[in-house]
Amino acid sequence: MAGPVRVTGPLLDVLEIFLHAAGADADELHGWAIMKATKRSGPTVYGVLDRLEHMGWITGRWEDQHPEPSKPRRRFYRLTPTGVLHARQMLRDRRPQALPRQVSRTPGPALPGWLQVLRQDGAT
Amino acid sequence: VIASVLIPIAIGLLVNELCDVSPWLARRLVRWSAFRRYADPARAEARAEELAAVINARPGQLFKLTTTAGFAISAATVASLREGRTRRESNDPAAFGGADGAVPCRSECPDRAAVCTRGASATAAQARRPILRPSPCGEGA
Repeated sequence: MAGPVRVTGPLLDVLEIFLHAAGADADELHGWAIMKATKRSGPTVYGVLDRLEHMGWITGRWEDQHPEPSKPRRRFYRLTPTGVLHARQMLRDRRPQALPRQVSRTPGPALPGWLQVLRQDGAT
Repeated sequence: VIASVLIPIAIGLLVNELCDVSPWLARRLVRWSAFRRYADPARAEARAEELAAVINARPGQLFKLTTTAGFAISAATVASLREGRTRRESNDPAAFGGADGAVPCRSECPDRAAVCTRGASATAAQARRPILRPSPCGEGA
């Protein structure tokens, strides 16, 4: 892991999305889903993903094949165990209201709209 | 009268053509952006494919192009900052050779016994040449 972490709004947004997704059975997210959920631009999101990957907080894997033929493959990211710990700690310090109460595999009925989108994207 | 008929037709054809060309253009531009942003070619190749998937997922031709333009502008900015930093490092005698113009062989050569050929003779003016931080260890004897 590199030196001290520079905490920015986009970084917190992305970590928040990952943590919420982990509790919604869609813990693997691809770049476009993160862009949609955070409402941040592509370069901003990918800058954050670069940093998180470099720090070892997330790990990525390529899908074997896009569900639609002749489309480019997507790369899915998920928090590593270390990343989960650091992300929870960081959100607890900086944005406690955004921290999911508990990580559960069965989402409750009051799931936010953007999370439904993530689940659909993760399922495809 | 002829112009008022031909101009809208020409514009329609042009717009239609641009719509057909825009996905190809977006793919090319996003690939260029990846290779501009990342110095490591393997990483750039992987990111190019990933960004192509992102552009592909974006609905609408215009949105695809604007997203691509965002990636391209960001990549160009990052690359120019990186190049500027490299240039500054290679041109700055303080960073390269210290205030007295001596090239800091000792700090750059892990092996103190290495022959430091520039430290004794190189001046700040020599060090100021636009070169990309060559190792001063044992060169130019």
